[in-house]
Amino acid sequence: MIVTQRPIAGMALSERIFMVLASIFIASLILTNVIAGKYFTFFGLPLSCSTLVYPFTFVVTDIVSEVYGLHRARLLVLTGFIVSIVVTMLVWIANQLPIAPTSPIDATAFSQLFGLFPGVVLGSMIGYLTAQFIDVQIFEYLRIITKNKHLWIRNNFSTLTSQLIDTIIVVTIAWVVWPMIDGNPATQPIGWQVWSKIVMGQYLFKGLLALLDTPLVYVSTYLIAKWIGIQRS
Amino acid sequence: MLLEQFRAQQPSLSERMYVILVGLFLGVLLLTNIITSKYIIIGHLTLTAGAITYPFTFSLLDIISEVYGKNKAKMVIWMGLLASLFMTFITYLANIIPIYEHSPVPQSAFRLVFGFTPGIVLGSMVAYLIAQLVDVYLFELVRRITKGKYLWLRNNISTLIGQLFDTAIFAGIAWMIWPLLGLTQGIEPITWNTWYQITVNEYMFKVFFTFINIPVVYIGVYLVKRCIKA
Repeated sequence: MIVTQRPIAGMALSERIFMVLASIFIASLILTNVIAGKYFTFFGLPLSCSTLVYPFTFVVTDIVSEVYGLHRARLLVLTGFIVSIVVTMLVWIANQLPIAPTSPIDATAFSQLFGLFPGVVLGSMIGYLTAQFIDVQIFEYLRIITKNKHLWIRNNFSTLTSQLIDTIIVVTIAWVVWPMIDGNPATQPIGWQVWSKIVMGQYLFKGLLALLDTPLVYVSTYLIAKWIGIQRS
Repeated sequence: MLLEQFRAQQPSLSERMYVILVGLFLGVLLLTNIITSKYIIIGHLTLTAGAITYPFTFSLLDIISEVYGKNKAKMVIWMGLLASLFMTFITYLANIIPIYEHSPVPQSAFRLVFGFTPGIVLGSMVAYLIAQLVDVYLFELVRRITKGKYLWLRNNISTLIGQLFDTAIFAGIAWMIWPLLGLTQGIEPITWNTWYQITVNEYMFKVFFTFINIPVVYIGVYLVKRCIKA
């Protein structure tokens, strides 16, 4: 079966490229959580900075699904989840530790950035897992239906569907469900009108980026398949 | 090979474990770069918040080296470099983008935390390179003086002094030179006293950690090997 794998001492080229993709995926995922608290305006819509980096995770899972298959894509999603939990725990510990007076950054700035509401973490975790698994499943399903042709259909359709689900879950858990169940009278769930506005805004932007990434996924899968020496049927 | 056959291959348990270990390594490494500018007090020591997370990267790297060999461990180092550069780029972009007026996290906090990131990444690379050169040079020097005897002596001396260079250079670049360059706004360099204090404290902690690391790596290797039945 293995015929055209380029011989390289140590790891096979396909393995190396997989690790590069996996690294970009993990880095994007962590950054997404860390920079989520800063919002910017994009044509009047308030958007979280995480929208700058979150789309990378979808580009990578699409490329991995296309070249390396469903098993590897699932492995990546699972790894991302484990790493997220560990990172969240470490951030929580770092936030609790007493600060030194000589610290270059003060405790207020640190806790403003990392004192994440449990609802936000919970929401993005559940949203992330659901969305990524759905993305991978739809991608594979469409690949079978279209008999391996028309990458752009599965790439865009899987991402657009999963991003919608992700956005709805995150916004609902973080701003509606959590304020209702946390027993804190200071936190109020947002109204459905605000909810729909945030969901629409985030989704439009994510959807736009998802469409823009199509040529990127095409070029990448073509190059990687050629580079690691597998023939596209 | 046909794409169909290639895609149908299942990664083995050992490969899965490797990906998860690399993921953890990258997660801890990136997080360390982000949180390390908060100085904390543990007992009488003033340490960086990164001091409690960074050692795990060494344990993970040692475990990967031991279970999967040198090549796969080297790959992890390159991936760490790639992920660090990617993070520097993204956080720089997120930092300079104009903020929304009702943003949950204010620009002041964001700028303070991420303003240091490029200096931290740069500092850790430069410090690493110089520390490695010092390590190799000292190793050779001690080998000549002792006429090739006492391996443990040159091993320990070169590592201990190499680490001291690493700590001092890193703290100097990350929290003194980088803020002085003025490429990111709103951050202040630390004083010489603070630099001295953090270098000495971190160094002591690192030396202490090298001893803790030994049982951690032994247990880690045992658990990973048992898990992948290697």
